[in-house]
Amino acid sequence: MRESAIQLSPAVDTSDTALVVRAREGDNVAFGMLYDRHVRYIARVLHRSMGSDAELEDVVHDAFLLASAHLAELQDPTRFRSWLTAIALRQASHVVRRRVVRSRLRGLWAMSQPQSLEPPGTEAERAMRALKALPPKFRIPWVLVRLEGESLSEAAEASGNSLTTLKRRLSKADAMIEKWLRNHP
Amino acid sequence: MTNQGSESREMRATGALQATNLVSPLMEFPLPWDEVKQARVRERVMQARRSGRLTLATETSVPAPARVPTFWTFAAVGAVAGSFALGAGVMIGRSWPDRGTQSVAANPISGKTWELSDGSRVEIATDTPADSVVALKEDGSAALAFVQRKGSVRYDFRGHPGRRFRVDVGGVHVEVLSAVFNMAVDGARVRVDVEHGSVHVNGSGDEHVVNEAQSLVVPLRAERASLPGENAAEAIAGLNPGEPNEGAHVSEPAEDGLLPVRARAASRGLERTMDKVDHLRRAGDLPAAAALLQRATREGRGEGRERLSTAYFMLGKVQKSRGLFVDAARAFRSSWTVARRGALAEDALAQEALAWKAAQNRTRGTAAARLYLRLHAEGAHAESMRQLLR
Repeated sequence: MRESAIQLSPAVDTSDTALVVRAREGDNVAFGMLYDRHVRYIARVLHRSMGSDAELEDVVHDAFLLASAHLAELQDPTRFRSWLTAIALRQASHVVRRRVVRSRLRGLWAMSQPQSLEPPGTEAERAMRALKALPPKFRIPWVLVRLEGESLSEAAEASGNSLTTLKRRLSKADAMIEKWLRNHP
Repeated sequence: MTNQGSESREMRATGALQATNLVSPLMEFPLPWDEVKQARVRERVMQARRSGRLTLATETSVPAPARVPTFWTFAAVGAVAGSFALGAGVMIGRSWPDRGTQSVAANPISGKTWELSDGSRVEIATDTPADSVVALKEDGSAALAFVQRKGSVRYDFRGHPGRRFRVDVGGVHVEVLSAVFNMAVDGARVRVDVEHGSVHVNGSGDEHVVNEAQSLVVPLRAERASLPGENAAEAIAGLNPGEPNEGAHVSEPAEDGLLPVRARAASRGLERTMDKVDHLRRAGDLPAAAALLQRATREGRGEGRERLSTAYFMLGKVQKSRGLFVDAARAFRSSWTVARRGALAEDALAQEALAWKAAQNRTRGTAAARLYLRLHAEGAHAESMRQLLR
């Protein structure tokens, strides 16, 4: 029986861990693959957490840039996505805080409110309004767990909370949404 | 009490249930994120990663950081470099503005690598101060000159075959069309090591051609290499596009990180235009978005290719949304043609094929799909292209 002459090329490991290791060594292709893999998730979490799309592009840019610059500090490469999410949310919180301060200083709070993309009155619009009504510290855990389906421990890590705090805020967010829905039938 | 407790628990459960019911409508809420933005951000991130510059977009006063440093950045950095040079006792030339030569770049803001958008690179050695090299460019030409004052610097000029480069080190000139080489100042001498291609060295009255894997040590003419001044202006003057040089196409528009002032202003203009287009698209005003993009692509001939390619790609998307599939296909083809190795090139080809298919032009759709598969056999759209060919 003749052996096959076909030689298979070795499988390339494209797990997050392998890509992080390669990216740390300066492999731009690996970092590009990490970007392609996670950018939509990061954009989605940011959009829902920030309640605005005005600075979305810039915050996504900064999140990946910071991740690139601090990749060597990531202790567990398997946690890349949670780590990246934490960076993105921290950057988003800076932006939101600055926006609030700026708005208050200028007395233009109303003008800085996020603009709706949906025609008012649809289910999606109502849901988005309910979400935007939550303060960020409650909104972020809710987005990560209820919308993105992250585990409690992953959400705690990404949002920079302890597990206990995360659970408390999640429960409070549920109650606040319920209240909002009751008041906005 | 017990009743109150159970009621409270029930309310919490109801709250959780209602909150969970928000998930479906929220999942349907459109994400203001598309492949154009994704590619745009990717390009910015990768460029910053390659150059080692950490410039956060949200911490600048402008909406988005331009990939090309602004005139005022150059001016400010140039001023700092000038002060440094004066402090070091190096004469700063007074004549260069009079000769119509304009300094458009000085030293890297941070890090020790410059990367031009055409792929050319200048890497300053770790033990060499970052202010050892200054780049000069004659406004309106495609020639580029560097003045190296000291230390060791690696130049990689392969990306732009039509562009002429010149490096001046203490009166020794190296001219090159496409090569990778290192220049190291050692006392009163400079050593030229060529990694790839060949360079033309003019020093101490002799002329040499140094080929790949060869080295040359030349005594410096000047006791010390000067920063932008008379020599630099001469260096620029020596790069007159009118000079005979076989194979050079110096009349091509500049496409590097060191654009003339007018081109830089236009670049900022195109970025602003694309922001406006985003708003118009969201507001559903597609004809206005298309008109804006058409004008931007007409007027953006001197732009960096990636930006122009992005503008064409967006135009294709808008025309497709309007049901103008032939126009969309043409815009996608332009996007691909302008930057065939750009971030959007692969997507543009696939979109072109799909747009021709939608326009019921099977011949052109098939041709575009075949071209895609030839270039990106394992690409993200390979399967849909194969389906299109069946």
